[in-house]
Amino acid sequence: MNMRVCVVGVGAIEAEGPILELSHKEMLFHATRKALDDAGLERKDIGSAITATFDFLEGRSLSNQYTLDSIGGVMKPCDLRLGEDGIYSLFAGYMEVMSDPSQIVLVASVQKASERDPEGLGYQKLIADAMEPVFSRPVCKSIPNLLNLESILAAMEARAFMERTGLREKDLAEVAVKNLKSHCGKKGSEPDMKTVLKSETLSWPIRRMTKAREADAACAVILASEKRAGSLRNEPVFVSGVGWASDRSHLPFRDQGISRETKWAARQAYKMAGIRRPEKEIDFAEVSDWYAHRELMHCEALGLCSSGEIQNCAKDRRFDKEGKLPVNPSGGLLGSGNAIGTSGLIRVAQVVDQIRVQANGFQIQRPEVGLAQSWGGIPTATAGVTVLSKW
Amino acid sequence: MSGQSRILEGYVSLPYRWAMGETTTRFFDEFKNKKIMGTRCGKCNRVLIPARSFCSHCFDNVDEWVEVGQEGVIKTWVAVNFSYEGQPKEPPYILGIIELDGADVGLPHFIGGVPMDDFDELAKKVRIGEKVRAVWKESREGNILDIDYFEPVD
Repeated sequence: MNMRVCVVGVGAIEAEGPILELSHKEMLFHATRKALDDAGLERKDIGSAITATFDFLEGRSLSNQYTLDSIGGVMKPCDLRLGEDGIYSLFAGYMEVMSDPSQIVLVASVQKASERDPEGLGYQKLIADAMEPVFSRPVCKSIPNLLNLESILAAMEARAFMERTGLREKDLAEVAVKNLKSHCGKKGSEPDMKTVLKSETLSWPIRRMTKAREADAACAVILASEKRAGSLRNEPVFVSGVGWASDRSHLPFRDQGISRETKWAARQAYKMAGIRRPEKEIDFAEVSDWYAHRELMHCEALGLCSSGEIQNCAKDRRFDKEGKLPVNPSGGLLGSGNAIGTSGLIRVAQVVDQIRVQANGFQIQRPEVGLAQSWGGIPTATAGVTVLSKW
Repeated sequence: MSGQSRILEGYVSLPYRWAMGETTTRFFDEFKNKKIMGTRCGKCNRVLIPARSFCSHCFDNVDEWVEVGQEGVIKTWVAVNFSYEGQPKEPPYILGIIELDGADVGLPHFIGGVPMDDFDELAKKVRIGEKVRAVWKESREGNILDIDYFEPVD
């Protein structure tokens, strides 16, 4: 069967600090150019181009019209735009390839946190604006320090998660140390538990270092059918399963401290990929660790450990880079920063890099089946999951 | 049901700061010297205004800087004679798209230096395809409004 969808090229622009020398349009161009070069393709080969980011975060409405130039989408038959996390562009691209297996589909996302402001105030205001306005926003707006709104909401779910699982603040700090270590691995600077646990408390148990800092990034991924991919330069990586789901839209109606959306998204992706025992069949995963507790919540929901076992995973180090099932070997969002709205697609690119054994400095052993998961962030309950596997 | 429904007042506030990038920054710095610079694509030869760092058609980097003319032709225009919130200047005024000599894309800007009190007279001078020339402000800060307006060339 020639109907499987493959990733044939990836390109990303990331930086430790704000990217000021390039406009967000230029960042997207460079990511796209890199992906085309990686795949050995040109703009003329692109059949369809799709972006996923949020207008509010980009600071302009209808921003897809503005970024079309940057993704090679000028005068192409399809410019699809998703106001969603970057991983959703992969899902849309997947469907595009399925609908016309002869075409090359480019999906992309860009994010410039530094344009909102270095402290993320813009995003905090956005969260206040994302809250349901009649019942929830009035109790959020009266919180004295608006800056901490995101952490306040995160703290509520973290507390519920810790209460249910018995996980302690130390366990959350371990996650941060693990991911910072993976990220800093090459540079040799070793963050320790003490530093993490001494970092500023934003809203207990959320600390400065157990919450990912915001970052600027752009990412592009090129998709093709198995048949088309066979004639291209790179060994393709199969998209063996995709799934996405949302829990109840009203935050107080949701079960707290559990990522049901991730569980449901994974269920779909696993069904497609024929995965029955994820903890045995998945070799590694890149998941959203927007907050340290979220990494564990997501691993639990993804079935990367047996039911009721998540508290042991923190102790037995199975999610370490050298562990049984490495989680976030790239350093995740806690390590490399969170390009809100784009980081989901970067997770996909990182899984592809691992499977192609091209994850410079982050490479793990024998990566054949990888999982990428992304979550929309507070106050959403939306998640996307994809399983990628070796050709 | 009482048939009544109250309104809850609120607002959405999104402060933002856009990084222009090095290419746009240089484009505006050249304005201080009354120069309008574009970039030429080495593949399709198009000259892009404002200067851009890549060609959306050939999808490659573009870094050859060329100065374009201070004169160009009107592609289209509109006379604005009403007020709205956040308006850039007091009405009446004319907004147009101008294709500068040596450039392959249009530039949106004001058209001025014409009598605004008589539309028929105005429409004789401001016409599609008519030649216009940049009029610079005395004090220039490196932004799009350093050009005060484009005036018809007799």
